Amino acid sequence: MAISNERKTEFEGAKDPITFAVIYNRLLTINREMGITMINTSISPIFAEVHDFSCAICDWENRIVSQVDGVPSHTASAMESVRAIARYFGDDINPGDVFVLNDPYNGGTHLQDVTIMKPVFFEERLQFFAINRAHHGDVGGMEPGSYCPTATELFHEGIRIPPVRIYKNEKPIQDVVDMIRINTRMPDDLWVDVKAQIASCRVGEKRILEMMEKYGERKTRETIEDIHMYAENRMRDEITKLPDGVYHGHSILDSDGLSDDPIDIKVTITIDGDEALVDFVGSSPQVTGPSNSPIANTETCVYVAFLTTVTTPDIPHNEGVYRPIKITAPAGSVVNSEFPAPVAYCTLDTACAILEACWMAMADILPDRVPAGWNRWNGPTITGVDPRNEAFYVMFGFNGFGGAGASKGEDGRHYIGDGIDLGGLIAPNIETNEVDYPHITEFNEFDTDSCGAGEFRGGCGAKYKIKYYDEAQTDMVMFGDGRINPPYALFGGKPGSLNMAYINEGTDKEELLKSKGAVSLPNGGSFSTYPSGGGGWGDPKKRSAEKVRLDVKNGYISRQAANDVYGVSLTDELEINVESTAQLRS
Amino acid sequence: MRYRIGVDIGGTFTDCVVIGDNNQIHTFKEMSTPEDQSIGLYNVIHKASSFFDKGLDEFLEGADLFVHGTTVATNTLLTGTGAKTGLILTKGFRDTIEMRRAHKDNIWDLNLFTPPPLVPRYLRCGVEERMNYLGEEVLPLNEQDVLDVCEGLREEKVDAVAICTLFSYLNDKNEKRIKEIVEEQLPDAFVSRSSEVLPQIREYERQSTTVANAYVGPKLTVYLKNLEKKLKNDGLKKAFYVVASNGGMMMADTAIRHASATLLSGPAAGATGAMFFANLVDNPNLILLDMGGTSFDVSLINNAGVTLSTEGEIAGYRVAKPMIDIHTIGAGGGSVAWLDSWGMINVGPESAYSNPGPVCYGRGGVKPTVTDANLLLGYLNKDYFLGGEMEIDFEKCHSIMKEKIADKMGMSVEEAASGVFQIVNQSMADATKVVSVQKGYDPREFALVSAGGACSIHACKIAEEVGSKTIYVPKAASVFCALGMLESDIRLDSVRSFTGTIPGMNLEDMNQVIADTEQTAMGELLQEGSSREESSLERYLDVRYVGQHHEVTLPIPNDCTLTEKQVEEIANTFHEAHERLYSYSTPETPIEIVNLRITAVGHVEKTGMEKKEAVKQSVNDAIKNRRAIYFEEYEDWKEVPVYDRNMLHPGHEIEGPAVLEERITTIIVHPKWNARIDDFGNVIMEVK
Repeated sequence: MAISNERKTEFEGAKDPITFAVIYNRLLTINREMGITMINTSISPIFAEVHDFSCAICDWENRIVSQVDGVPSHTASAMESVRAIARYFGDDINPGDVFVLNDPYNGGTHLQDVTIMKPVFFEERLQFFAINRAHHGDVGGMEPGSYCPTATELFHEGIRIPPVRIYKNEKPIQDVVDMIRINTRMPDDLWVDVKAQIASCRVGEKRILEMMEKYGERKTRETIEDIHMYAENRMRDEITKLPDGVYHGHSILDSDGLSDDPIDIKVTITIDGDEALVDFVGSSPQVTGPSNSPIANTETCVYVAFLTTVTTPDIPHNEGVYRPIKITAPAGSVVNSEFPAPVAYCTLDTACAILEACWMAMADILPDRVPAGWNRWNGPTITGVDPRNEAFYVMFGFNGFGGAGASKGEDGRHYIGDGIDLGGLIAPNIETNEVDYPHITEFNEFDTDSCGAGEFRGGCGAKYKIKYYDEAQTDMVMFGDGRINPPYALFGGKPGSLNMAYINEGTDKEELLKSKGAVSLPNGGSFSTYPSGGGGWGDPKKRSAEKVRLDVKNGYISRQAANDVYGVSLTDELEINVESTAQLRS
Repeated sequence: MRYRIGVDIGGTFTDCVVIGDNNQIHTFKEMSTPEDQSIGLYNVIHKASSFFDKGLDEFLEGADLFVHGTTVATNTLLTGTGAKTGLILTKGFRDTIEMRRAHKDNIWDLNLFTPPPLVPRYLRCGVEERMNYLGEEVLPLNEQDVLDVCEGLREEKVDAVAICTLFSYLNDKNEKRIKEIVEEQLPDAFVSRSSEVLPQIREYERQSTTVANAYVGPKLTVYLKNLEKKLKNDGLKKAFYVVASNGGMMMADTAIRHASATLLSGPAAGATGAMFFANLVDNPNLILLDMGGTSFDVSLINNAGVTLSTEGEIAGYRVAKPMIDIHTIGAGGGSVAWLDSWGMINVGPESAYSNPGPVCYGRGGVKPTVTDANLLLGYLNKDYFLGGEMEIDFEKCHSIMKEKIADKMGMSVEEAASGVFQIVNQSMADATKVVSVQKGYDPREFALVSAGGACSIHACKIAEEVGSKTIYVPKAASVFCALGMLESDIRLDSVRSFTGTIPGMNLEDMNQVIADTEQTAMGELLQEGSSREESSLERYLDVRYVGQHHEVTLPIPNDCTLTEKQVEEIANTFHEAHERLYSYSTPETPIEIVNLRITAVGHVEKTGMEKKEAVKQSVNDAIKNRRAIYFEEYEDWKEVPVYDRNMLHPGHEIEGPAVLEERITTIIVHPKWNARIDDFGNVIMEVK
């Protein structure tokens, strides 16, 4: 595909630079306040403790104008959601309305991500949408928690909500609410959390209106156009700095869990002047199981790859910044799946792999910025009835996180979670978990040697083991990856460890779990996980011997690994044996 | 003659306030001495004693009260110069403080700097023991493990040990025993256990706080012990108090045990100043704005009390002790204005500090700052900068603003300077909303208190943005903090984990826990030198809806055995608070109690401030001259009267726009505002 090199929009500075800066910052503040409202009022730990949601503001042309708060996997998809509302409702969007959707093939990502949108009217015209997208504990489907390893159609994965109105004149439309509630295993939690989403959008609406009172419609709109142009211009300038050329990346998912076939994600990034064409030709066709990624999810992962490496962190996240990036993916492929392919894993496993492929493609042109591979998801959804109060619960495995990949000059962070979440999820405390769920934790601690070796090493993953009460009946669904394909290394480093998970480890009932699949633990039993550390960057033998010594002293790596991989020989007192080290490193 | 003496260590100056007989207030200033803060403290009290014509011993002997706000603990954390600290914890959970709950503050910055853990991994040692979620022991403490760990820590020559085991907030048996063993084995170490420092659920927050406590403890101990000894040798007979992060004060010995409670000692003094001021002007709802050279601090006084937060982080380390809820952003007089390559104008967070300082200081600064903008707009007086003590380079200031900002944006210099002014005002207004709007307080119901030399240039614009209608500029704005310290009470916070639900709570249990906690708290307070008559106990509950994960702290009835009816009222109060904070409540959902908090207060006698007599002079006599000032409202210059603030007296009224000037503080009464002088000599600005 040819890219036109003509810069379509030349930005010559904002018409009113002062108002421009003021409104730009105001939108960020509003966005943050929406997030705080959600944290403080939601009841599911996945929001209140873990922060698996995002808030955004879109404008009258359904373009994102501001998104600061939330998980990266939601980055650009809010735009698709409001576009779907526009398609469905046209002019029939009124003050006091609230809309909802979760359909992956109509503005959503996977079914658990329920998006709430509140139109904001000023002087009787639609100006903005305040948007909150949040991952709910259960939206029905074959398995509690709605990750369904045997799903082969979207219909197996839960309730599919097309763009619908859920509030009219600021009042819930009870029929719609009831229709959604009856389709989840946790109707009360879901409803309270949806109300928290709406509260968060209301706060956004209120603040936007205060802003418009001050600046008026014309000035606000003019300024928003400038903000898009500003961001676009910044992205174009950054892309221009990259050498023109064609760059390839290839990551592999272990499988979709239904067959053992590996899934290829192949990307070709063409840098041409101030634009980038990102094409996924060569990627596997869509698969039977839930590893498929609808195009909105794929686009988001590409944007995340660019925003983390091509630009600096302070660039605005709005529609303008995405304009110079053209994304194409073959219809019916795993990265542009077609209805009714199931999609539940797309925001984690597949998203990680897409991000990895893009990062790999860019490693050669941005060696100072692109990191080695991060951990892929390794956690289960755990459901059961708590014998202490007979209540049904859903718990996501948000402890036992993996490590980050290293980059030039920086070791990867330990215990940060999967790549696509970039450290945006917050692990709950062991104590609150044990109060909330019927288990006792045996350990949650860095796993020695899980980190990929390198001049800069990956971060360690944390091994994590919980033991259920004897009378507890527990069901688990694993939906991770990285059992076969570890986090990649760069420039002579070593990959991170593989994701591992067991039930009843160390007993005669021990079982190594598949990365995807359901398993039951009747009458107690234990679950343990060993998530991968991040990949290493550069030749481990170039790592300073003193750093290696400290890594051994701190138990991030073993003395054995220091010797064998890093070429640093240590005495029993953990002093550097200079001579044998020189020999090992020569 | 009797005195009350307060000394507050600031970044640049050490301030001393002495209240003598007749409630006369005297203030003194010396340069701070960061390498040993007590030198600056001694310099300033020497200055004060000479003023009173007394020898130091006589001066100190005459002191009824000596209060100190210190930044020793904070600086220790900021500079990473604390004790070599070991950490003993439940085996299997060695990395809690390094894991930081897997969170990164800015996910988009892949290489975001994270401060290294205060205790490196090799000094974090697990011992076999375990309590469950009810505080029942499921694995007994292996004392041999503790002995082995002590052996290792001794070899590593640690100076401090923190102890934090799982669920110790419910059952502190094992932590207590570990502490005994550590104290036997490492008699010189400073030891902190989490069940003493912060007995509440969530091991990351509890452990991080306990570690910070142990890490800064030894340094704070040496500093306070030496200082106390010296002051006593030099004549101080009465107790020596330290300002705590909660805006109260505590005796030096207590501050040493609860070192982490002094981490905000400095800024807390400012909030106590605001509390004092709230009583003085009889307005219980205030938002305190303090703009310095590099930062802008905001805190909120509700109902004449400080608002506290347990969500704090200092130098990147989580400290969950109740601290005054103070929001700080990098916007001050020295904040640099800059354009990025795409034309976005930014102000801060880079600062020119005091060296080289703003361009107009003429000390080599080449980056335009907020102070430069204020000068170019006529807000600051180029002929009377710092009372005329400082020569300024106006030409340079003008040419740099032109070259770096105005020309590039195709604007005039005043438009550019006005832009810088508007942008910094917006940042400060947003920061003001963080402590008010985002916490459920409506700033329209609050008056602003503007402290710090430059703050009152901006205060009207901040007020317009947040909707406040009144602004106070205190008479002694620059020594506000030190003055507030002399008016604060002794406040000791304690927390006890208590779980129950409303409805369904066991009232008897609850009353028992309250009684026990209050008895302990009162015992500690009496050791602070308070008498029972001057003491009171305040009760708070941390509550939430069942299932929620974030609590609201509510005051509950004091001095009584709680009745069913009162519990119902507590529930109603919670629903109202939730509605106010988050715009909705669900009265049908049961409420969960998480923690009980008791604050023991030892009331200290207050002096108040003298009222000044109205003077018959006309307000026009105070006009020094007139000068042209640029206002964004007019997009133009306007000639306005400049008043000498020292010539303004109670009863005087001034119509904006106008300038009120004194040596350090400049007040701009913007076009939509009027000003008047109250009985204490404070300036009050009100919306027209």
